[in-house]
Amino acid sequence: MIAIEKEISQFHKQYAAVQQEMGRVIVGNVDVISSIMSCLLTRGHVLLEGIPGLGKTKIVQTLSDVLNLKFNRIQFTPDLMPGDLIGTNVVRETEDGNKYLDFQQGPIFCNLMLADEVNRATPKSQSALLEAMQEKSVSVGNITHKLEEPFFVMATQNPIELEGTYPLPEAQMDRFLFKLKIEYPNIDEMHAIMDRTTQVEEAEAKAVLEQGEVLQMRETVLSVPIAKPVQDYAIRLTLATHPNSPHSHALTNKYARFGASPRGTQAMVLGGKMQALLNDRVHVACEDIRNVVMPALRHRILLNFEGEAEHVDTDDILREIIKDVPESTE
Amino acid sequence: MQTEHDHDSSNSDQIVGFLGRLDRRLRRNESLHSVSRCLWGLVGLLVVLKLSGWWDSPATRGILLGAYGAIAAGVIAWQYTRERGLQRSAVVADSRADLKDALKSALSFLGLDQRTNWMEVHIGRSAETASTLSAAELAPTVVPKPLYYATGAGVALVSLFSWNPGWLQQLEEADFLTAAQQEQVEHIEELLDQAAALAPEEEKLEELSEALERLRRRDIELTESLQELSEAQQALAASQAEMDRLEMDLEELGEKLDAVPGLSELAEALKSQNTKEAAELLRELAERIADAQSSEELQALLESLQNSNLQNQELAEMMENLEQAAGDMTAQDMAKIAQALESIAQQMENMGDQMAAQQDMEQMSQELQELQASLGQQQTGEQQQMAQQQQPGGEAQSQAGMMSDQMQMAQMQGDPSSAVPVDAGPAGDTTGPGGPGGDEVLGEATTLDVQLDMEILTAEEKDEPIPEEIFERLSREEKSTLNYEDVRQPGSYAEESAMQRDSVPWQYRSLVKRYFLSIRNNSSESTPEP
Repeated sequence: MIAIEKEISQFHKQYAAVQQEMGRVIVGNVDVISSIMSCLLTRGHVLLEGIPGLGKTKIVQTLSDVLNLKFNRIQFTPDLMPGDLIGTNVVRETEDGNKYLDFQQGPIFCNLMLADEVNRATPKSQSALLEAMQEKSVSVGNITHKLEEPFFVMATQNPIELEGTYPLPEAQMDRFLFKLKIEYPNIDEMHAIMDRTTQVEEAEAKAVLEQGEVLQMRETVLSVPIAKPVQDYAIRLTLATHPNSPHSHALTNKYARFGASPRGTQAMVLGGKMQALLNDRVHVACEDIRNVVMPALRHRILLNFEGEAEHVDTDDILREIIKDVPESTE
Repeated sequence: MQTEHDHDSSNSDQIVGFLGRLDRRLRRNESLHSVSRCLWGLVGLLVVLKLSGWWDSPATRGILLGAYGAIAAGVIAWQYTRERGLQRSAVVADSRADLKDALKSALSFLGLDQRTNWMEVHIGRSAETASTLSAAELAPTVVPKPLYYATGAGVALVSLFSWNPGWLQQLEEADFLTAAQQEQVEHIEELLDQAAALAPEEEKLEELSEALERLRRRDIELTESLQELSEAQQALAASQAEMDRLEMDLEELGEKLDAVPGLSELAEALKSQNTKEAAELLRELAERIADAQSSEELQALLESLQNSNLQNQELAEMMENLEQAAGDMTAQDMAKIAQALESIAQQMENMGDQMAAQQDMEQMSQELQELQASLGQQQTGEQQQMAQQQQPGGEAQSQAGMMSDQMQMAQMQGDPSSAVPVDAGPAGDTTGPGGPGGDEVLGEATTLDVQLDMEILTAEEKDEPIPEEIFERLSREEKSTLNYEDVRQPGSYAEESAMQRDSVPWQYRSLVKRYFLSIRNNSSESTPEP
């Protein structure tokens, strides 16, 4: 028992150190950083949506610096091929003149990967990435190459430029644990950004965690137990997003074509565990589940014709669901 | 030394014990709410009982209130004792103490067979939290306000119904007794007062007075009132028979004394039932009892008394006393005879009062008979109205008709307690066995106020088919030219494909939607539905 208490205490120290270092470079976006850390520590991946220039890339770069992990950034373009992503076999020649195929690792072989503007690549390249995200391995020819843990993908997409893009299919969107929306900074945050980025010396973050410590933190998060009634709440929230089902919400019936899959419930439970630890609890509360409903489910609800035409935001539907689904069925 | 198992058990006891205490307090509060609801139900039941008239029948009232009380007690007991587990109290404790589902989770973990160390840590933390909590603070005993209101309303209603039962009846009385009935009752009460003044010891007068009071207040059902009035009337009729015997005795005495010289005035007074004058004459006789002539008169009086066979008990006793006194006459003790005669004179005066009271009672008896007839008619009307409300259409009417027939049958059999319509003539005026009024002259034949004429309605029958046939025939002849899916499918497909294409910019999507909606409206108007 004491060991667990120590483990929790250690987790808090490490997390606080990461937050402090991140805060030296990144202005605001505390919730975004917390959610990204949740995804990283629960074996998930994150999809960031926001207009250019809001610091999406900076966040991932800083995170890799702080965690002392190997970081790669790939700019997705329409002519990006799967080989450019995962690598390819090249023919090499030994000293004695024999030829052999040698696998040249692509940029996906890293710990933290930023897939910038993921919706600009063709579905073929997107599929290669998303398969690697799910399986944590890539197959070239007959050989499967295991990716190093932790493997964390942060994809970004621009919501305003739709011309010449290939929106991610629903099945592939489902692979992302969270979808985060990056909002504009407020005036104070803008001042802070200007102060930090328009001088001779830019703030830099130093590494506070090693790869092993990240994996240890991951184990700690996943160890947090969740009680059946709380899990039941998460399930009922998910079922409320399913149109024309016994648990469906009125807004879902009106505007949704498909609801969230069990991956959505998994995302809520995992995110809830992280939230519980951050709040110094060893159990997941319904409040923790509520806190992660938006990022966990917003990209898993598909709007129907009415919803699309009326520009319904899935966040609005989820807000109503949170309001109407009771914590307990007692 | 405390083992780890003991420690776990202690944590579990701590949590379960606290939740158990909280559960009991929650059940208690729930029971108070149930009591409140049941009391409101009782208030409603009291009002219903009062309005329906069942309140006036103690037996019905007792059964209904008892049954309601038993059901309510059962419901409350079931609510308090039913098995519901501790999950609810855990949810309440988490919510009220802002524990972020700590106890709910701990309880859930305690129910697992296999628990991780993390779960044990959480159970330990929750046990510590539970030890600092107070069930009384989290769920204080709160008597709901509606319980106070319901109790107040119930007590007020019961008080009103019990202490001032005329409160509602006064409102109903105006509708209950007609003006004529009211007048009759008042007249009977006047006669009753007169009779009571003349004969204050008559118990039947007191009973009649109470019966009339109950009739006024409608403390009892109309049927019961009628029964009481009937009994009172029979009692009055019985006393009339007694008075008839007294009159016959007085007449017989008068006839016998008519032959005695010097007592002709007394004989005349007795024959005419003028008891006051007879008393005066007897007093005069007592005063002049000493002279010889009076002695002869007295001797003749005694002889006539010995030969008489008086039926009235009181009069017979008086005369016996006089004979005993006359026995002393041989002992020349005239004072005793004078005293006996004075006593007889006094009794005669009393008899006069009784006879006057009896006249009032006789009149009362007649009035009561009329009142019964009138109330009986009213009861028949009420029963017919109830039958019409309860039974649909003609059945109700036939049942009401049967009731009316039964009333008439009862009347023909001379049942005084049966309801007799006033305008149908006096009781017993038909060819039945006869009752109290059987000897009276037959009344005039009654006729219906409305004479019904048969009216024949004429209608023309045409050979045209009914509308349903026309509709079915046309439906069989006409067929749908296009299947519904063929009409709707292209539109639906076009809408889907147009809207699902991502090349449609956001700002134009509403325009596209409006376009398809406009097509949908037009097509639904122009396309014939199958």
